[in-house]
Amino acid sequence: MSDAQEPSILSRILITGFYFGPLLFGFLFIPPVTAQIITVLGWTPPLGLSPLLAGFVVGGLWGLYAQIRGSWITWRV
Amino acid sequence: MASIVEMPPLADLTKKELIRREQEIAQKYIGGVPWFAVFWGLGNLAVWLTLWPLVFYGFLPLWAGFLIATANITLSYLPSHEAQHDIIARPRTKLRWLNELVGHLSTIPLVLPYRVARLTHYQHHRNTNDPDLDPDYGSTARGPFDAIMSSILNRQPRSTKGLNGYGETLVRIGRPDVILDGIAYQIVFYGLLCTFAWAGFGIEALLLWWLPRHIGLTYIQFFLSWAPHHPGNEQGRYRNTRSWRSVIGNIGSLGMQFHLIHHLYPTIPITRHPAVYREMRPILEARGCELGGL
Repeated sequence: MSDAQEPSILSRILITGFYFGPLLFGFLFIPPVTAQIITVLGWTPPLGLSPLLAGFVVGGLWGLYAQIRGSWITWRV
Repeated sequence: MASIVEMPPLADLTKKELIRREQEIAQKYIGGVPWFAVFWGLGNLAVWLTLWPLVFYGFLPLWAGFLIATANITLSYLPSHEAQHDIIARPRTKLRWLNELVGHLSTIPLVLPYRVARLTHYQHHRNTNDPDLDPDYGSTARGPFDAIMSSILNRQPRSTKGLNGYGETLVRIGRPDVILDGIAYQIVFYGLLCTFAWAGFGIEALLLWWLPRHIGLTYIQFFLSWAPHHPGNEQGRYRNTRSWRSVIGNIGSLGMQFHLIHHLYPTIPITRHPAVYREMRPILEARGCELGGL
């Protein structure tokens, strides 16, 4: 029986990156898009938050939810 | 509308004679270069790429760009599908490069690598409706609404069905190397989305690519994976796919009313399916195919 090959460092980075995909999407895409939508709509976020900070709150919470639950839109996959 | 071709009575014919007549009809429609699919695939991509500067520079309103992009991405799969079956040009022919070019390029907006699409699609043909081996079996659903929901839920992060399950199929058939294509496409896709977003074009990225892609994927999976194979509980050559009448017509359903012909003869170009169906219909009926009143 042959030993399983250890994944390379690059493989580990990719696997980890994809595993945390929801969190990454929540912090890297949702915040600026949310900020732009808030600005276009002329809306002022509550608690004195800037549009971008509000975006981080939305993206961070939603991304964390999707990371834990495995789905952006349902309680469980 | 062309009339159904008159044929001698089929009831007394053996299976061997039926298949001979069936193949005789099919052979008439195989061959030649489907130039329509070539222009469709490359032209569709060109239109989608052109949307970006047109919208960014204000020549086209974003809402119009969104509608066009959604149509572009919805239409992007089928030209590659022709290439996946070597319909544009078979291996070792002069225009093989064109077949591969259309195959690779047309599904870029869909973020679906050609090699991934082709290898998994072959498995779909080989194992149609097999719950364990058909990579598209995850599209099976009780009805149209469930089919749409399945498509959306199958794309959630921890789902193992639909596109998320293609990696498992590639490993099973001994092609884990092709997973790298998928990884590369995903990295570029999300990298570009984030780059556009932080550059101030997040809404444009959302409405010219992210959302149209999701809508297009559901549309494609509904009409290509669910509808022609519903209810998906038979695996025989003449029973694993049905013909059916779509309320939005043949073009609206991406030509999938006649998908039965494609599963019987995968190398016939999609534009010829209606003519093949009309000529072959009596044989298909004799074979016990589900024709859905078409």
